Amino acid sequence: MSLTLRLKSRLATLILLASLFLFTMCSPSGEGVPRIIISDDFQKISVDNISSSVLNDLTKGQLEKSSFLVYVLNKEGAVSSNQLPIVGNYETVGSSIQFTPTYSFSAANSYLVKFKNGEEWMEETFDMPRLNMSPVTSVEQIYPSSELLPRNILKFYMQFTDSMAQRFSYQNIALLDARGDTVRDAFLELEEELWSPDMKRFTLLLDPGRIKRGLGSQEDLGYTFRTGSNYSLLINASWLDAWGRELTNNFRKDFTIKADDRTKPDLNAWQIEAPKASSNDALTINFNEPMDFGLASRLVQILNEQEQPVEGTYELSNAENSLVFRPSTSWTSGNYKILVGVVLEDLAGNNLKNLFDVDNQTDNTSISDETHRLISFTVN
Amino acid sequence: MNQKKRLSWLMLSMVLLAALSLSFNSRDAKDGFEFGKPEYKSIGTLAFSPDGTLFFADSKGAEIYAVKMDLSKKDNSKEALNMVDVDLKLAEMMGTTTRDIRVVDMATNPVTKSIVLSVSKGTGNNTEYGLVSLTRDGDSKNGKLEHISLEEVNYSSYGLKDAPSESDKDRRGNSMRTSSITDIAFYNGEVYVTGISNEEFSSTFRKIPFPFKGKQVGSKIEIFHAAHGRFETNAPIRTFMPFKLDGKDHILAAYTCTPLVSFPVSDVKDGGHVMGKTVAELGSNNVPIDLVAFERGGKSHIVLSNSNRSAMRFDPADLVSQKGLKDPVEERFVSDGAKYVQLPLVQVLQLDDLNEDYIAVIQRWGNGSLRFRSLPKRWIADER
Repeated sequence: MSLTLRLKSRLATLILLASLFLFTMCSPSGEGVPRIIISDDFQKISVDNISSSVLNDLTKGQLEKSSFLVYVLNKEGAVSSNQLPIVGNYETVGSSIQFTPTYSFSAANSYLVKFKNGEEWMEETFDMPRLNMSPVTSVEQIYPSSELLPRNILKFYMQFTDSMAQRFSYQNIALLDARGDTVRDAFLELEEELWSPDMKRFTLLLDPGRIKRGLGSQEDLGYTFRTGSNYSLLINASWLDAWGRELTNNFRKDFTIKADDRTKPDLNAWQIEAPKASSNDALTINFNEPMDFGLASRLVQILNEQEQPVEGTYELSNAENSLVFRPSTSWTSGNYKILVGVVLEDLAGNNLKNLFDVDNQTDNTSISDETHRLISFTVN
Repeated sequence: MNQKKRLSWLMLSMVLLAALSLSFNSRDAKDGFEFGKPEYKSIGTLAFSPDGTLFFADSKGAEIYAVKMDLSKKDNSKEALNMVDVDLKLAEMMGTTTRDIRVVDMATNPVTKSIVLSVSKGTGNNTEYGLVSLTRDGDSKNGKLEHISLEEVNYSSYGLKDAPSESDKDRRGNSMRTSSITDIAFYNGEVYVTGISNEEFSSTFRKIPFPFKGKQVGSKIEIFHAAHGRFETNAPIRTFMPFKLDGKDHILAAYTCTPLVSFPVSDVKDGGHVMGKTVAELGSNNVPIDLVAFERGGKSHIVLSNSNRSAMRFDPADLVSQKGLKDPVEERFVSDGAKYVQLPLVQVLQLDDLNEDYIAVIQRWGNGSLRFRSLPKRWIADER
């Protein structure tokens, strides 16, 4: 008696559960049509409101491989045959699946989102906004700022007002002679391009083979420059900045070539204009020749008696012939030192230790571990 | 009772599972590896160790990363492998146009024979970097591309900034200085790294012991090369390759100003100064791009690709026996030194070994697209 009762109650529970299950599976209430939603910041694409049956099918298999696909549209606004979908991560959150592209969507491109809802494909396209392309970035300065450069000059630095794009450099730089003809093969074109971390300064190396004595290129083509002649370095405005905009204007640096510089920078020739004690006067170091802008900007440092750095600001002036140091607080009388890194170069790549190319018949290559030299001065 | 038993079984299996996963991670952790996502800033040149560990150079972050790769799928085929429009396929995967895509480097995993490409997307300061594998599609001769996720990998890294002499006394900081890593190689348990700075013009050559352990510092070596006997320079190295000849290890380095220089690895010592031997002058107005060495018919061969000249095949024995060049090259564009065979092969941007019978190249094709090709070793190396 009690056994049949128990059986009956179990049966009733089973029927109740089964009907509940069927109800949830078949009922349309609470589950509308899925929607494809592109987030306002274009970081995510989600499909919301996916019915649990479709979701169940999807999460069982590899849904992203076949059912939720994002493509970049080609020039014709279509997806080509065999086109690969964009790679990204898929995540299921409640009744929605979110797609985050591994690489951000690119400006001005159009994209197609496809989602397979059961047997039916849903599609949605969206366009990435175009950036304002009116030019704002320009060339601030080309270093060396001197208009008189040695025939064996090794590099130029190009300082821009804002970050630039990579891979457009060499096609936008030209060297012209006095007649306006292009000087060919003057630069060392490196695929990696030499930029500062903020992408605002570009280093342009002249073909070192045309500077080194006894090397093939120099014998072949001779020097890039002729002593006494005038040249122009031209930067084309079509060089793109980091946002893909052209520069505001072309930039031109005119200069005249003087004789080779085949001597190492000489610290003994440096003139130090020491400030007065208790003053905030600037300390000026005259190099007696222009120094490399990049290296002189960081390799010269003022130390106090305890060999601790003196707080203040450094500025190259007089066409990189001198360095001006302005202390944060007034000078106290005593002995000071100027710390100079031995890799400091002049305009021709000669550093304190070695010439750009060492003539081993007259000069020895310095192989010492020396990294810095010191000059003393006194503040009275 | 039953339920209790089941619960204890469940707990036991969970503990076992946890212990198992822990042992997987800790096995790698002991060599300085950790599990997770490497915080790289860029991905540049690539190299593999013989056991299939991938090394990539992060020039922006001044780090070298080592990543354990999935070695489960091996391609034992000796067949060719080709793929057209590699740049278009990469652009599709990365959701952009080919103009934004650059294949920075290519390396073949020596264990799986899978090709790994380091790729950059974009040109501005929001440039993104990634790794993509190129593998055989089934048993065909066609390649297929797959994105390599670096979200959850076993990796370790070595910071190049930690090396002394570079930042030690530069108390004013290195704010504008960068050092681009031009090439890396793994050889005899060490990672070799060459770089070029955007400020000082010199060669930096580093030897870093692997596995990377803590703050262990690799050695930094200055390499000069004698140009025509008389003038020595310390120019940056563009690409290099270690190779073995008669049981002795050598480095072959191609410089930014075209000479090919070789020196024995045994000369490379901590904090040292190496005088390399200029074995060939390859003519002006040309930048060397990539090097590969392979064996064919019991003989070693070296192939060098160039920016403005066709690829060249060298016999390593000729490079080692070549006397250092003494006299200047007299004529324009003429090369000198070790003899080479000019291969009818141009616009080769990437070079590596592929399998027993083929080497792998990426070429800029006539229509401007990038094409991955495998070239028969017999075509490159056999006498006839």
